[in-house]
Amino acid sequence: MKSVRIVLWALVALALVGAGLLYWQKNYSDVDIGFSIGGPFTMTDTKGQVFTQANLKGKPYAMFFGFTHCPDVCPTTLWEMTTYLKQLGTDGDKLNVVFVGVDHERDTPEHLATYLSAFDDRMIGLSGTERQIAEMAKAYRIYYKRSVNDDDDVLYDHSASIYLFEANGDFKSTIAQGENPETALEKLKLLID
Amino acid sequence: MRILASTLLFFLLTATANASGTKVYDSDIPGVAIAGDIFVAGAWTRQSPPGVDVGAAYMRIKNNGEKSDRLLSAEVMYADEVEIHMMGMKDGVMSMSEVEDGLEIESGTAVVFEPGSYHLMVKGMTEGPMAGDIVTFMLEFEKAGLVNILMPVAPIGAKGPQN
Ligand SMILES: [Cu+2]
Repeated sequence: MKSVRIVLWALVALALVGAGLLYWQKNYSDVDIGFSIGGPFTMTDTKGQVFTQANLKGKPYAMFFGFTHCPDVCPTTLWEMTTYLKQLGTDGDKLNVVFVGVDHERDTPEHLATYLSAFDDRMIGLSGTERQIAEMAKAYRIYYKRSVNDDDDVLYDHSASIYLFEANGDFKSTIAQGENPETALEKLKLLID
Repeated sequence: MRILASTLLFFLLTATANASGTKVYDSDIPGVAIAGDIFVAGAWTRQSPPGVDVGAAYMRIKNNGEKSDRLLSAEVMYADEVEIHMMGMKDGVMSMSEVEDGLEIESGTAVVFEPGSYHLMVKGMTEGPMAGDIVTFMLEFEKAGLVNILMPVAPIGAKGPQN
């Protein structure tokens, strides 16, 4: 008898939640929750030219952050991106792929040019001053932190996701670190369409 | 068939002694080595992107012994230093840290080194290896001793030795 009562109450609770959701959907779906990823930035490309968000306009873009002295994650991500671009073929031209170096000391335009020469040449490499990088990371909600270990190696903790943006600069979705390659490719295809 | 394979393996893996009397286990099968109770398999490294003097190497280590063992250090000829690192992912943020005092491999368990997780961090490379090369890493275990292991070199950014 007791269990029946619990089930009934659970049903009542469920109905209330459902009604609440409906109410919320009806009335509050356009509430601004202050969610924003992306925005203007000023950086330098691998040719030493000033590069801003305006340079990306007109094409959707995939953007990720890292540092070139990262032995593990960054080369893997860049290689994955290179693979996706190869799979997309000429469709890949409809997309901007941007790698942002967060290491203001070592990720110089010249160094990024050398580093990126091993990957798909459609990729854009961005360098910046400490402050430019900090501002960009803030707009793009990127976490990164410089640290120096006992051996005086400079290392960075950093957000590892790939961020996807529409042609107008609106944030669309992410490709998480370690995401299934097929899903990742699908997301890029959706972004281009 | 299995007996044949292990007999073959036995002959291919030779335990030699170096000048100081410490046992050094050698293997001539790329990616595989046996040092007493320690089995290493699937070892590989990869070419680093140009302009970078750091790299990473990966493998699986199984401890078949009764007692726990410890990977203390590693070295390779073309680099100043090799460290045992752990790549940790927390809330989408990647961070890397050195495993201090060696990495314990408990009795009957295995530790997997792979991209995004444990790796041998290769630092201060003078001339890094190229995809297709085979290089020799020396691993030092607390109990099992020294073991030389051949590692095939995969292309830049590869996620495994087959890429
Ligand atoms: Cu490392």
